Parts: sequence; structure tokens; C-alpha cells
Amino acid sequence: MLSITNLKKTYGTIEALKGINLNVRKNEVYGFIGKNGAGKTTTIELILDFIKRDSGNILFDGIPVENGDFLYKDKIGYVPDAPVFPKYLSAKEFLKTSIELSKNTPIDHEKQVSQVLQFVGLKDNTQKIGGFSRGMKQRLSIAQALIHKPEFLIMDEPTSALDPVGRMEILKLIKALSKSMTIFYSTHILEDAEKVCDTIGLIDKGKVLLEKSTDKLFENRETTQHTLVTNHSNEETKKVLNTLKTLKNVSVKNEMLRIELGDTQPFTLFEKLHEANIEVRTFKEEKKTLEELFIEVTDDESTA
Amino acid sequence: MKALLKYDFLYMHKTTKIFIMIGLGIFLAALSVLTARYMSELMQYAMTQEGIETVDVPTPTVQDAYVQFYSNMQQIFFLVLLFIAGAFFSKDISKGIDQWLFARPVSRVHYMLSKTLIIHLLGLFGLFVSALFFAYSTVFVFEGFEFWRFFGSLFIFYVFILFFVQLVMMLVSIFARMLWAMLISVVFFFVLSLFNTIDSGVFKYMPTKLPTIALDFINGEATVNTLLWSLGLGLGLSIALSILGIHLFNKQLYKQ
Repeated sequence: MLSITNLKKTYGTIEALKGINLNVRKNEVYGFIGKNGAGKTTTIELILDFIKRDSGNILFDGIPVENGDFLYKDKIGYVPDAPVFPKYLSAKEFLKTSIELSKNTPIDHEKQVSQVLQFVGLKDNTQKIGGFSRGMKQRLSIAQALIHKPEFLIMDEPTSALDPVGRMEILKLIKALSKSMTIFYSTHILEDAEKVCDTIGLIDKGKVLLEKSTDKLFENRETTQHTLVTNHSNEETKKVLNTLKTLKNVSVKNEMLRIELGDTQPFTLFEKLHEANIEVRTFKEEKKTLEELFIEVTDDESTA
Repeated sequence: MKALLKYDFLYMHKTTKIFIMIGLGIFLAALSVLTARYMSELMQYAMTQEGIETVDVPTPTVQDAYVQFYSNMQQIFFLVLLFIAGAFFSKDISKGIDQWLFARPVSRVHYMLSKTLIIHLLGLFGLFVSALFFAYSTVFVFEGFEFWRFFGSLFIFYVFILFFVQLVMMLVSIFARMLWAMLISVVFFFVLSLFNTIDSGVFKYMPTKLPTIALDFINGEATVNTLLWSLGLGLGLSIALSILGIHLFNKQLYKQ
């Protein structure tokens, strides 16, 4: 649905994007994750032609997008990170204007506006947008992005300013919408991305460091680790484990030892601990969180 | 384009700009007639109060009403419209609403054309309502009101407004903010007005001369040559500013 190759953008002397490549398939939720300032919003602004790219290609639905093109946007819905809409309009007037600005909408505008307002819980609201709370604006932002029935939804940090309940609602909404459209979901909240995304694209310092399906991302050994609890202190246990040269990593997190086995077999590890009179109480395999993976990948990149 | 026109019209309607311009137009029209009619009485009253010997002030004529009308239009109506234009051209970008607009299939050229069209419809409508009210009340107060010449002069006067509104549009396209655009336009207006006394070369046809030419037209004193050159220059410059403004607007969006 969306293919980006070698996309570059520079602001003065700052290289915001250093030739990124992305591939978003039809009907998937693509999680575009990265820290603040990694280049997520710049990428979105280039996709939507808000800013001019230095070089690179954008292919949307099989058609190349050039600077100044606008017709392709009819298939796109956009939820900005900080929604700003005309204060003097009511939600209904605003959505009517939004749908009228779209080109190919052979639908009953009144009915569509009413349905979408109901969907976001603003149906009976007659207030002007100027009087809306942050949460209401966010819901209206989603409504305006869906009003023209887009095929591709771009969401730029939609949960960053919401409370936990609001966040959960948005994630549920993404799940529900993913059945009928492609979603490009930009966030720095990795926990959210992990819950809803089919594919993860990880961006840091203007470079896409990793692009994989969420399943593949966690299926291999590199993305699993073990937690270990013994009858000795973590420090004492760690000292013993550090003598095993084949162990990849031993760290303490949340008062538990976390071990990446690398080439070490669990049996070898137990034997070593037994020799030191350390009794194993819990040894459990668990997948790395996206957060841990993210830190690992970005750390690797900065040390490279 | 239709949707953009509707969106821009909604702004003018919902933020009461339409009513402000109509109300202001009617107020200034009434003020013009009353000032022209009672100016001599007012002056004589003021002089008596100050103990100054009264002098004979000529009886006011319809000519005084025309002068008052264009003077009020130039000093108040024009400047108010100019400020509304500055806010109107810059509001979407300065407030961040442009992201919502340009995430949709909206042409940047149509966007600027729609704004230009709506601001001029507002200006023309306000001026026309004002002129109608002025004409209606002047007929009752003074004799010899020149209907067709007066309404013809409105077109000449509007070219003056057109030029400065397009200047504001072009400057907003450069600065993306209202403040600088307004400041430069108003300073430019006053500086250009200083050259109104020069009656030779291109200065004879400057856009700031158009309100005077409009009055000359009513009195039948404007030559065809002056009319053609002044209107041609005013319209030509306005078109050039519009094209430049749209071109710069594209660049400005990309600059942010």
C-alpha cells in the first residue's frame, strides 16, 4: 500500500531522515516506533506532502507521489498528534466541511456525519470546537480522519496525551479499524505498539533500524530471555554466572536476574550454580518486551 | 474549490466578519451624509463656544457628501478590511489548521484563490451595501445625486482596495504571520500616499491616487487617459501580486 525508498530530509544542517526505506502492506497495522525526535513526524509530513523531500521515492497504492500531488490524499485519513481545528465550528459543521473537502465520496454526507459522530461519542454535542476538552478533540480528530472512508489511516502519536482509559479506547479502535483499512501507527509508547501492530518499523536518528512482522520479531532466540531466582543474592549469583563465558548477558531488572543464554545450555547453567551451592527457585523463559528490544537495537546502532 | 469557498464563507459568517463589514459600511455611510450636511453648523457652534468671530461657511452640497464618503471609506473601511484580510489569509497556517486541510485532497492554488475570492466578495458586498445606504440617504438630504457616476466610482475605489488586499496576501505568503504583513502593508500605504502630491510620470497613476480619481470621476473631471492608466496599473499590479502570492505560498508551506 505504501512503499518508501531512500527518503531523505534535511533541515538546515540537521539530517532529519537519512534515506529511510519502509514497506506498509495492505490491511496491516504498521507500528512506526521511535523516540521523540527520531524522524517519525517528518516521515508522516513527507508522506502527506506537508514538506518537501530532498530525495527518495514514495509509492502510494502503486502510484508514485511527487511534491505538489494531492489527489492521492483522498484515500488517506490523518490523525495529527496535536489536533487543531477551526474553533468557531461545531463538530457537525466541521465534519460536514471535512467530507466536502474530499473528492470521491458518493455517500450520503448527512448520514455519514451522523454515524461517525455516534461512533466517537459526540453525536448530541452542539458545542463549538473551541470549548472542547483535549479528549473530545482527540475523538473529533479520529472522526475527521474516518469521515471520508479512507483506505489508509495515518495516526501520529494518538495516545501520547491521553489517560490510560483513553489510551485503551484508542487501541481498541485501532484493532476494530484494522479489519477494514491499513493503519500506519506512529508512537513512542512501545507497549501500545506491541498490543496492536502486525509489523514494526523502528526508527532512530533518522534511520529505520529494523522492519519486521511482530510475530517474527519475537519468535527467534535473540528475542527471548530467562528470569532467574535463587536462594542467594542477585549479586552473588551474578558473580558465579559471569564465569560462564558463553552466556550472552546477565543483568538485574526489577530485583530479578535476567539472562540471555546465547550458546549456553540451561543444564550447564544449573550445574555451575549447583557447584557454587546456589539453589535455583525459579527459572522461566520469557520474551523480551518491545521496549527491551528497542533499547538493544538503538544501543547497538549507537555503539556501531 | 466549492468546498473551500464554503469553508471560507463559514469563517466569515461564524466569526461575524460579514456583519462587522456591513454594519461598519452602513455606519460610515450615515456618518458621511450627516457630517457633510451639518459640518457648517458644527463649525459655527464650535467657533461661537471659543469666542471666535463666525465666518461664512459655504452651504454644503452633494460634493461634500461624496468627499466625506470616500474619506471615511479610505480611512476606516479600507483599513478594517485590510486587517480582516491579514487575519484571514494567515489564520490556517499560524494556528496549525493547515494540517487538517492539506491532509485532504486540496489544491494549494485553489486554497489561495478561494480565500482571495471570499475576501473580495466581503469587501465588495460591504462597500455596495454602504453605497446603497449612502445613496438612499443622500438623495433625501442633498440635491443632484449622480447615481450612475457614483456607482461607477465604486469600481475605481475598489481597485485601490484590491491592490492593497493582494499586497497583504503576498506578504502573508512570505511571512506566514499576520503581524509583519500588516505592518509592511500599512507603512507602504502611508509612504505611497506621500507621493500623491506628485502629479507627473507614473506617480499620476499610483493605486493610492484611485480614491481621488473616483471623486474626479463623479464630478466628470477624470480624463479617459488617467482612468485607463490608473485602473490598468492597479489591476495589473494586483494580478501580479496574486500570482506571486500563490507561488510564494507553495514555497512557504514547504519551508515550515
